Amino acid sequence: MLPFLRDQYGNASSPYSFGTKAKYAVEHARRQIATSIGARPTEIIFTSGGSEANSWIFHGITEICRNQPIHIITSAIEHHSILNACRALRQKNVTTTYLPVNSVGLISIEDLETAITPHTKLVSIMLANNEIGTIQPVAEIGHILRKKGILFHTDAVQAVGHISTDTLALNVDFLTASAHKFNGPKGTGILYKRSGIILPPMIWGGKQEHDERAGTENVAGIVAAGYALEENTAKMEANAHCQRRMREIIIDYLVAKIPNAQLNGDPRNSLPGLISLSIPNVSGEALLHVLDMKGIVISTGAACNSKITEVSHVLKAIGLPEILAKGTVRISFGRNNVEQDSLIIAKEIISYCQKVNPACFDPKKMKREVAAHMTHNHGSTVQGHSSIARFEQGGFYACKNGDGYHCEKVDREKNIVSFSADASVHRHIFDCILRSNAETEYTCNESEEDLTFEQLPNTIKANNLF
Amino acid sequence: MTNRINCYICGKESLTRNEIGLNKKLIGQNVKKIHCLCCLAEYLEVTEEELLAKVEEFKEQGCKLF
Repeated sequence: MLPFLRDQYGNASSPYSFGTKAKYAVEHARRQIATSIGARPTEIIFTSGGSEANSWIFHGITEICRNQPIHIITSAIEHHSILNACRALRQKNVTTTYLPVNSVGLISIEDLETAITPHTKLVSIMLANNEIGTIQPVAEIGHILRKKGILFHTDAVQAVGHISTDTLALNVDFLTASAHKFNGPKGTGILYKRSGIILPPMIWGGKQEHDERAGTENVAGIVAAGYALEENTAKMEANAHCQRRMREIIIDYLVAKIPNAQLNGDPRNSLPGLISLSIPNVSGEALLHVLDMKGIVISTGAACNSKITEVSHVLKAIGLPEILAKGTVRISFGRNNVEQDSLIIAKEIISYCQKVNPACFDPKKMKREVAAHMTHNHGSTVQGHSSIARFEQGGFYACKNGDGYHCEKVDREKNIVSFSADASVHRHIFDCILRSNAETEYTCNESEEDLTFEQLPNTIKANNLF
Repeated sequence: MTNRINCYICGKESLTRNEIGLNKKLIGQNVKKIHCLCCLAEYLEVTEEELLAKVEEFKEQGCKLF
């Protein structure tokens, strides 16, 4: 970057040699980016960041289709640049469907296909979520949408440079990325736009970026972005291996010491260096500040704003109870972290939890506390019984006597939900479900180990029950 | 502005608004056992200077507890 800030500060759009050197550097960076994501250089446009690139796509689609009804589909866990764009476009009569996600943050392909209408112009699903790390089945989604002729965008800001991101393999028409997420500088973004797609400009001015995005190029930022992505791509496997190892160390350590801690995201398919961890009855924000004083930087899933604690929309969307959402922290490892860092972080988190909430180390006691909290906050109370919020593997569920039971297994095909309690308490659980979902009828088949719920036909499906 | 809350550890009287605010921000909003600055630093294994720096940070962010 430094040469382009000190000596080679020519304008990349100027015709003299001082400018053409800058121009060559920008085009070299364009080739580096294109190679890294399986695109052609002509398909890469530089912006000021991922947010601008995201906004441009939504703005552009609205312009192209302005004389038609416009429907957009996205997910409930997108970045705010997507969600706020959708909200803003309501003023232009653009309707949006926000696809729900399951407890690990995955959208359902069936939900997507159901949501498609004759007016659907764009689907936008992020490749990897920034808070919980879940990776969506973008290639599969893209394949479906390509057949239907619907434009498909993926916000790959969190993914590019960390996991394989090939635009052809992903079947996307648009892809957005941001340099500072792959060790490049802040203020440089990338929009991939498949050849042949025309997107009206959002910024008017000169003919920079092939007359598609006006504004004097941020040469230093673009050059650095090209090298950063090329380097990260070359070392991707090695970096991912190290980050997965650090992730395993911290998870093994924390889960062993804090049995009531919960991991968020899809354990089978997540960003290698990201951990979202929820600890009940511990303030994630307080933990953030204490670790900050010890030189450890993490982020949280909830933030205090005056008297209200705002829980992130992502954690709400995955159905995380507030008691866990408030105690959620996100730890992201980078390529410069080492295994020792994992141990230090784990040790400091455990030390803090031991001080402020020793109960989180006692599984029995914490189950009752979590259950009592869920009793108070989740679902309706009917005739003195507590409702059950949702059956998801690894969750805690409240029953009428205030005890919590750990849901160990959910088999959706067979409609079997197994609790870590003996058959004598199964009736309690069944009674709770029956009473709290008065419009739904179930039969219950009990065995020593399993409680099976079979929904009777033509009944209203319980909200979030399965 | 002072408050009639004493330090849970050493008994220091009338903890300040900032001391109470630090307990709420660094332990939890519902904290019952309030520490003075010195005892809080020891409890959290940080320095008093770091805690005072946090006070300034929270003030900059507009936190009403300080």
